[in-house]
Amino acid sequence: MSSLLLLSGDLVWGLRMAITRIATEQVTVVLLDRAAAAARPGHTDAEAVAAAVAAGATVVAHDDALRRRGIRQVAEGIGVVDLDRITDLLVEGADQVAWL
Amino acid sequence: MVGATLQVRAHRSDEASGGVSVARALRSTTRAGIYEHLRQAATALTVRDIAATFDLHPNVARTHLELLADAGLVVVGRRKHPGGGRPAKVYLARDEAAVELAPVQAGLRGTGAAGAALLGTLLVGLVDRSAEGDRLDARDARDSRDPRDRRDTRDSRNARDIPDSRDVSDSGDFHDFRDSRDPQNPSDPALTRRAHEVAAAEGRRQVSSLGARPDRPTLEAAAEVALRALRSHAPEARIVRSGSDWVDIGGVRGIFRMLEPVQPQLAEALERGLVIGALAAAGAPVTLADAGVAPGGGRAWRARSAAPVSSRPSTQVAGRVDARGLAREAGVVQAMRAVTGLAPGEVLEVLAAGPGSPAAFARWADRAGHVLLAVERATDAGGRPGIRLLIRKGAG
Repeated sequence: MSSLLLLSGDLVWGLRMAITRIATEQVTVVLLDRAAAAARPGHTDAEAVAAAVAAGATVVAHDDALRRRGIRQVAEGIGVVDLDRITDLLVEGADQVAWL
Repeated sequence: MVGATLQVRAHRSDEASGGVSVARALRSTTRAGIYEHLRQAATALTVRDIAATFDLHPNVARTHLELLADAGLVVVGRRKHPGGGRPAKVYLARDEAAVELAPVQAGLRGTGAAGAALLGTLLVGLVDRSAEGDRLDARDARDSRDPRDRRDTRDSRNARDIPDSRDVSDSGDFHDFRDSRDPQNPSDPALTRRAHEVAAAEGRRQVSSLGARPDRPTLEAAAEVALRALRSHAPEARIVRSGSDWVDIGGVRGIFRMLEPVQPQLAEALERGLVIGALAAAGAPVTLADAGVAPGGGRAWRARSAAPVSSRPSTQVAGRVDARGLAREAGVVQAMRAVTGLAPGEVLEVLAAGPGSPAAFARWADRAGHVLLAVERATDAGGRPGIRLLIRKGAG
């Protein structure tokens, strides 16, 4: 069982959901739009993201959202993906998809 | 014109030699509208004036004006600012300037004559139709009614104090006392109906003789074909604005310029009929409503599809995303989110803007297994332009 969580708004709640699910399923979190800001080291929500990564979730951020926010470096454990990869994740990557 | 110096640019009518022909300059509906606006303004206007009137970016307006100048249709001049500074570039329609205008004005006189000729054709057709209608009415009346019955009917009307407009002459033909078919009577519904029919038939004939079909199964494409057919009689005929299921058409009134002051209702009926007939022949049956004053002057008609255009089945839109204010990929992300909530086969409508947007949506749709049904220029109800994409969700 796998889940894909696409976060563009409420980051903390989404990450909490990821952590609760990680025990039973494979979870991928995609940080889009405003949520991508949390990929920056030192961001106020960076700890929540780090906790999700530590729990075993795969966390990736949209490269264009990062670029629009001037973020050149992301925190450790966070991957950077382009729109094509996000499309692939949506199409074939998960049994469940949630937009938050 | 005070305080402005005007200059006629060398007119190079031969496109092969690098110049711009009048035909090419007026091929664009926007440019034709700008030219007509300059002619009506009868004064030199700046790029900013034109940009504001036609809701264009100044650079786009400047490009149109320069092309008109290259074709010799407008005169370019400079107007000094009273407070100093760089003089403003101004443009004046050439037939308003005291300059030699041989080729251009000859062309304009020709199109004016063509408009008048079409008006003449319509009026002659209307007279023929009215005479034919009278004969048919009289014959029908003779066939169906006994004179005594008619007398009885009239008597009963008199008894109810309702005026009867018709009587029967000795020969059996009807004579209309109120002269309800008199062309001088502008409120005559029969005359208006016949004018509409005659003009619609002429509109269909104009498009048929053009022999062109819309390149896309959309109302806007059909309107472009219809207006191309009418433009030889009304050079300023153009699409003023457009939306997903409507287009605003302006500039056709020029054909009826001579008739309008004396018979405004007849002119309107003829104009309506001409536009409806031309659009029907181009594959788009429409209903017309008054759309007020068109940008650049003149009256505009709003044409709405009365039936699905051409053979394309109507598309039911299940979801909408307005991505015009978003960055390109952020818009695609919004569409991704919206399409998640749709069932396979349902259609998402996306309004996008900006360079590369359609390609980004198309790339995503292709990769995600959705089908891009249509990409077209559109304007929303508020008049804001954009690119409309219809995306059918794939089976997933």
